Amino acid sequence: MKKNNGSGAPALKPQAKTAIKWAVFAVFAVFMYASSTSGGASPKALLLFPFAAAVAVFESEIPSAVLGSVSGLLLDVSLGKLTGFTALLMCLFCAGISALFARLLRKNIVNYLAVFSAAGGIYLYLDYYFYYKIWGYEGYRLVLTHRLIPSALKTLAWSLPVFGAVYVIERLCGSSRKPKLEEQDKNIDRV
Amino acid sequence: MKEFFGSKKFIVIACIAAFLIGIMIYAAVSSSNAISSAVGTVFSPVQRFSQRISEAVTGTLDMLFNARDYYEENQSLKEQLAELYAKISDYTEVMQENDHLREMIDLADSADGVELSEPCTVIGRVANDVYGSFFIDKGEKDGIEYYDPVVTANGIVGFVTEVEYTYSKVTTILSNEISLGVYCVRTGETGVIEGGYELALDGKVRMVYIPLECEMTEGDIMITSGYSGTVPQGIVLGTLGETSIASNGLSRSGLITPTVDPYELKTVFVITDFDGKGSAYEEE
Repeated sequence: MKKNNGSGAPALKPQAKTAIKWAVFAVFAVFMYASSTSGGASPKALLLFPFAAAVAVFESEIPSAVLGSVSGLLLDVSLGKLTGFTALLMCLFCAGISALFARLLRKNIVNYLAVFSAAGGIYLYLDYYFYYKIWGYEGYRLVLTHRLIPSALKTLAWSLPVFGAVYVIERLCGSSRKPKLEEQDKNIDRV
Repeated sequence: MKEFFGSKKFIVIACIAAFLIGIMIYAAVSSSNAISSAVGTVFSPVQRFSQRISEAVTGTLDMLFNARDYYEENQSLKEQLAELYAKISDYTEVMQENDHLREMIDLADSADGVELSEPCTVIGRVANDVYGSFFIDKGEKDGIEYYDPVVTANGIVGFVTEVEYTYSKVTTILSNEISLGVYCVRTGETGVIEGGYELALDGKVRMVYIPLECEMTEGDIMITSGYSGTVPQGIVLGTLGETSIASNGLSRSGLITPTVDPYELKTVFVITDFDGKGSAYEEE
C-alpha cells in the first residue's frame, strides 16, 4: 500500500494481488461447480475444465496441477463419476498445459483453444471408453451423440469467455514479471 | 521440455497424481468416501441456491417463449376438464364401491409399515446423466440407507444409490442398473422392467417377460409387485404402451411411460422402511 499507481488508488502488494486472484478463482470454481449441477435435462457445459486449463496457461506447473486436481474432484462429484478419475486426468492435463505454455507456446487464445481441444478430446474419449463403450450396454453410442458430444461442444464454446475472464483477472491481479537481462546471467558463455 | 521431466516440479506433480490414483482406488473399493461426502456437504447450500436460480430463470424464459403453446394447451385442458366434470359423478360411485372392496379384501391397511422420510428437496442433478439422476438434501443422518426407494405422490422415482452424511444420490428407474418387478392393476399379469440409454432418451422403460397370451392392453396402469423386497407392493410406476413379441419369441415386451418425470421433480420422499423390506435377500 505504499506506492501510488497514478490514478489516485494505492497500489497493492504483489502478495495481496495474488491472494485476491486466487480468491476470485475459488469463487469462480464454486460458481462453475454449482452451474454444472443445476438446470434441466439438456447436456451441460463443464466449465471447470476450460477454467482450470485457462489458469494453467498463466500459472506455473504445481499451482496448475493442484487447481486441476481440485476442479477434477468437483467435476467427479457433479458428474457422478469415480472420485479421482477426472481429478487425475485434469491434474496431468493442467500440469502439461502449464509446462507447454511456459516453454514452447505463446500465451494466446488460438494456442489455448488448440491445446484445450486436444485435452478435451482425450478426456471425452477416455470418459466414453471407460464409462460406456467398455460395458457395451444396448444403445451406448447414443450417449456419445446425445450427451457427451453436445456437452463437449458447449464446453468448447464456453471456453472462449472463460479464457477471457481468466486473462482479465491475470492482467488485473497477476504480478508483473520482468524478463531477466541476458547480461546478468553468469551461466551464459559469451564468445 | 527435457529439464522439466527431471525437475522437482515434475516429482511433486507425480506425487499429486499418485495421491489421486490412491483416492480413485479407495473410492472404487468403498461405497462411500470422505472426499465426495465432504465436497457434497460443503457445496450443498451452493447447489441448492444455484438450482433455485436456475429454476427461476428457466421458468421465466419458458413463460416468455412458450406463451402460444400454453394458450393452446389451456384451451385443450378446458375441453378435457368439461369431459372430466361429466365423468366425476360416475367416479364418486366407483370410489364408494372401491372403498367397500378394499375393506372386503383387507387392503385398506396395505400402506401400514411404510415409513417415509421428511420431504427431500432436489438440490442438484448429476451433470449429463442420461437417466436424470439427482441429489437430494437428506442423507445418512436422516436415516436414509442404500437402495431405499424414492417416491412422489404420482409414483416411484428410483432408488438411493449413494448415501453420504448430509445428502444422497438417487438413480432413477430409467437406469439400466435397475430392474423391478411390476404387475398390471387390471389383469394381474406380471413382468420386469429394465432401462437403457435409448429408452431413457425417450423417457421410457421396457417391460419384459410378459406372457405371450397376455390380456394387457395399451394404457394399462403398472404398479410395483414388491416381490424383490426392495420396494413396497402397489406403488404406481406408469402406463403400458404397445406390446410386441420379444426377440427370443418366448415372451412379449412392452414400453412403459413412467408417471414421474425425473427432470420435473423438486421434492421427493424416501421410503425408509416397509413391511417385507429385504425379504428376498433374507430368504437367500
